[in-house]
Amino acid sequence: MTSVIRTENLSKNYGWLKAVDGVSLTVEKGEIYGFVGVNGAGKSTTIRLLLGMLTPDKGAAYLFGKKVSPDKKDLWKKVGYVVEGASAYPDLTVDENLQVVCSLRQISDKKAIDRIIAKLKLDPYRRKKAGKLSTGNLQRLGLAKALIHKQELLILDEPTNGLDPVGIVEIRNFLMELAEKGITIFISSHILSEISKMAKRIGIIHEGRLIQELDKVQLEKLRKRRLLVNSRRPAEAKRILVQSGLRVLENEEGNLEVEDESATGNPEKIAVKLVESGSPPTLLKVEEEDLESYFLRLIGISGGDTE
Amino acid sequence: MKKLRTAIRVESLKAVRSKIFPITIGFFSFITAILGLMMLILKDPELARNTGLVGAKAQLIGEADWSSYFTFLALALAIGGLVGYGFIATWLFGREFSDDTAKDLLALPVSRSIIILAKFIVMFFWTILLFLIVVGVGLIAGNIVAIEGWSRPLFYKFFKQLAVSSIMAMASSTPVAFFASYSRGYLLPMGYVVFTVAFSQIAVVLGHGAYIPWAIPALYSGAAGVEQAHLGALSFLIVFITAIIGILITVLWWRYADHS
Repeated sequence: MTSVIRTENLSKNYGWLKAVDGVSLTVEKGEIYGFVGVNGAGKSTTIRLLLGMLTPDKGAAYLFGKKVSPDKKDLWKKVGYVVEGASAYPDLTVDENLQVVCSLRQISDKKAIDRIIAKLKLDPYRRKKAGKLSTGNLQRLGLAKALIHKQELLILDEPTNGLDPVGIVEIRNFLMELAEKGITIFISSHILSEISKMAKRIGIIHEGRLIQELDKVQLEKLRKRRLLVNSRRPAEAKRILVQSGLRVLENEEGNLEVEDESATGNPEKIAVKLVESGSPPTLLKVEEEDLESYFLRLIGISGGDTE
Repeated sequence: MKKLRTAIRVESLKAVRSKIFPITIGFFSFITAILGLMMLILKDPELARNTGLVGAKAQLIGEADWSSYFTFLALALAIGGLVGYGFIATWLFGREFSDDTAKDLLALPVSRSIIILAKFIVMFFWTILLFLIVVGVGLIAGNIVAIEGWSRPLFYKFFKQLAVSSIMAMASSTPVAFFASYSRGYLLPMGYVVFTVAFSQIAVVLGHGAYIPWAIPALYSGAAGVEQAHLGALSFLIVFITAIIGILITVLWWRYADHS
């Protein structure tokens, strides 16, 4: 089956700067693909290359098996997008902004505007000028513009920027619903916890290069686990753990940290050992590294437990 | 054709709902009314001095008849049009960048060329509307002031002159759209407009105005005298080619430039 998105050695330079450097990735139908990277890593440039807004210096991008080009008008019928934050015509109302999209996308369904307005809870603002909307509602309008037609692919660059926590959850659930219906979603964000909650696969881009692609199972395996231990007699507890051949560190909170798999995989055995030696644990918790820490560790930025 | 009609409808909505639209109508109406006031001053200088409309020592040159008034209006449309229409082109194209909406026009089932063409068509109708407002307000102001020398053939003659001046000013403004797009904003295109006005003045003084696209509308309007108002076919061709070049480079820029 043809991949919905495929890039082959996609590259784009701005003068001496390699904004995107040999990125090759594929996204399959119905998949939510999280595209993660720091500011300036090449996320938006990749997205603009996927949308035919930029011409690659090397390589190519394909959507639904067709090489991306601004002239492939039929291709854009199937694609909804938000690039680098939402925008709208400030002098037009929410309704009128959506009418503009409906006209240009040749949407004949008269109820399309009502439906998307209801879905994104924009009803109280539909007669309000876009220039007077809050950042969060402008973001909702941007998403409404991307989602109003019967798209098969959504390319979303930072779609939850400016949304409050309730809005973030609503949009997340909505996007997951769409993916279940077979719509492919390519989503970039710097809110990594958000990406990890919905993406089936994650691509990490750094300094223009796709440094890792992994699915949820792989991420689980690669994430660091540590056992946090404390006791009323911490020095004694530490001695016992070290005696058992474990490598024990003391963190800033005064808790003992053990990363050995024998301990993180069997915390109950550690508990028994501590109880038997007269230092019963007051804290025993397996902590998993989140995507953010993993990401920071991967790109070698402090705060991510660089080794 | 259906896509072009749709794009024109969309661009019209965007233009009509903007703040700039009533401002341009107000500005052109105001200038026309001011020219009507000048006619009043010319007609009765004593009254104008007594009422304080002009200073006591002011010297006013010209005849207070319809022919002079129409010539003033043609001049206002030729030079004012160059600036005003340039401003419209700057806004129509530059606003997509200042409002950050250009990216929403780039990956649609309607091609970028159609959208750009629709913008030029809206620009054309916008300038036609301003021309009609100048004529309409001019007729009202002229009648209020009771300017002498009205005749229907004179009106028809000047109506044609006004229309051609206006259309030529619009046609020579199309490259402004390219500069607004290329620079993704307002500064460069407005700089270009100022440059064209200044350059055309110099060209007219040096006697080469008939070959400079931005000077040709003013020459045609009679700004540099009746003799220079008789332009050859080459001058019209130069304006036509300028318009085509302006449209073409703008369309090509939107199609082939990197939109980063």
